[in-house]
Amino acid sequence: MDPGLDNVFVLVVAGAGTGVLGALLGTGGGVFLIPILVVGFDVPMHHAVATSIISVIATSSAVASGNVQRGLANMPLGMTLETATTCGAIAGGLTAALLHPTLLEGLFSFVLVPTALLMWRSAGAAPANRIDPHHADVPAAPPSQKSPVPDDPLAGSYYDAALRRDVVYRVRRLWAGMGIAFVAGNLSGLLGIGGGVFKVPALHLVCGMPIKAAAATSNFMIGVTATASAFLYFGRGQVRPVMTAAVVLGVLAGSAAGLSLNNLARGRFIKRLFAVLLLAVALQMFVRALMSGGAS
Amino acid sequence: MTMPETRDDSLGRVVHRTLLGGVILSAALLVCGLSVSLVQGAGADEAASGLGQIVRGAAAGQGVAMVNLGLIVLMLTPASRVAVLAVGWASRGRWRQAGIALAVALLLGISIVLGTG
Repeated sequence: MDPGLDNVFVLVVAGAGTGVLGALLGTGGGVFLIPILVVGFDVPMHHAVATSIISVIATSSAVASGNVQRGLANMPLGMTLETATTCGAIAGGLTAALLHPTLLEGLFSFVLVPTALLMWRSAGAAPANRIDPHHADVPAAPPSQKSPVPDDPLAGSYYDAALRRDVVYRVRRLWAGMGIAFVAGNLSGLLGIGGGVFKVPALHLVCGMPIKAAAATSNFMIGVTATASAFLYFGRGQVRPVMTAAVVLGVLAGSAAGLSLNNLARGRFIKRLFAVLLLAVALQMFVRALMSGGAS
Repeated sequence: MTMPETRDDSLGRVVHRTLLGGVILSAALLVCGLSVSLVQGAGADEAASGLGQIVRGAAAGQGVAMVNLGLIVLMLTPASRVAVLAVGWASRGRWRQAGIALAVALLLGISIVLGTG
């Protein structure tokens, strides 16, 4: 049974809470939103996934519009990787229809474990708004130029306010990035998460992008990726309009508030606390899936 | 001194406005739809049944139909951004990138047909 009009305000608050957490911790809110809906409101897993996918579209579009304006998102690279993420998302969205909700819950709990571990590790890393100057290995060029490196249409550049100069970078190992993008798209379509927690480290470590550009480009892609599977859920009647609208509005407001509170998340303690919380949620969802699987 | 705006700057600005406009329009429809639903007390959180019915319902002031329209506008926002980039890159002679954007648009079209067809 989905929550309806009686729960609109509670759903807005729940959405706002996940929006704040997503912005503070640098993850999509889906990893928190889905457990809240499934465990807290007893929403069927497929409906929770559909709601999460649509709230991901909202936050991604809002954040990406700012990143594009600032020249942070590498649009040619993002579009190239979107060919892989949309294929993965369509495959995931179609597969999800075939899976029993209990199995989907179990899969979700498994994916939360590496998410929590990456969150724990990122607590000790440089935040996304600091740039590793070693990645700026080619001469700086104006960010408006169509490609800062004439023979490389996927090279990117942006102005880094902290460094007070343009940062220019090339993209390495594109095919590895495409493979990772497909998996991230698949997870998005199947489980309703943005997948940024996997894509950003991969774009940074495998493709050699500065972390700030990797985060912006990942976010740029997430909206299109989520759209690819959203219509599949919508067509199957798994998007519950009132519940989804309340959550989306809450997530949008929460994300905006979370960005202004961003300094709080710089402490290792908060990120590691939520990493442990995420592991506990994973365990709870796994046990729940196990028990409903045994009961059915 | 400010740098003169290039054609790529203007494309980025169009993408920015497309995304932001889509989010604002959909949020406005969601707020209106939820408010009307609360006033009307129409409690059934029914899934959408068809685009024509949604548009007619929204025009008639039905809250849930307005919410559904807002969700559709939201889902089409990233797709609009893909279309804007495809046209923008093609008009700048960047055929490879325009072709990639068209491929993504085609994949999204397949998803829409699979979902609603």
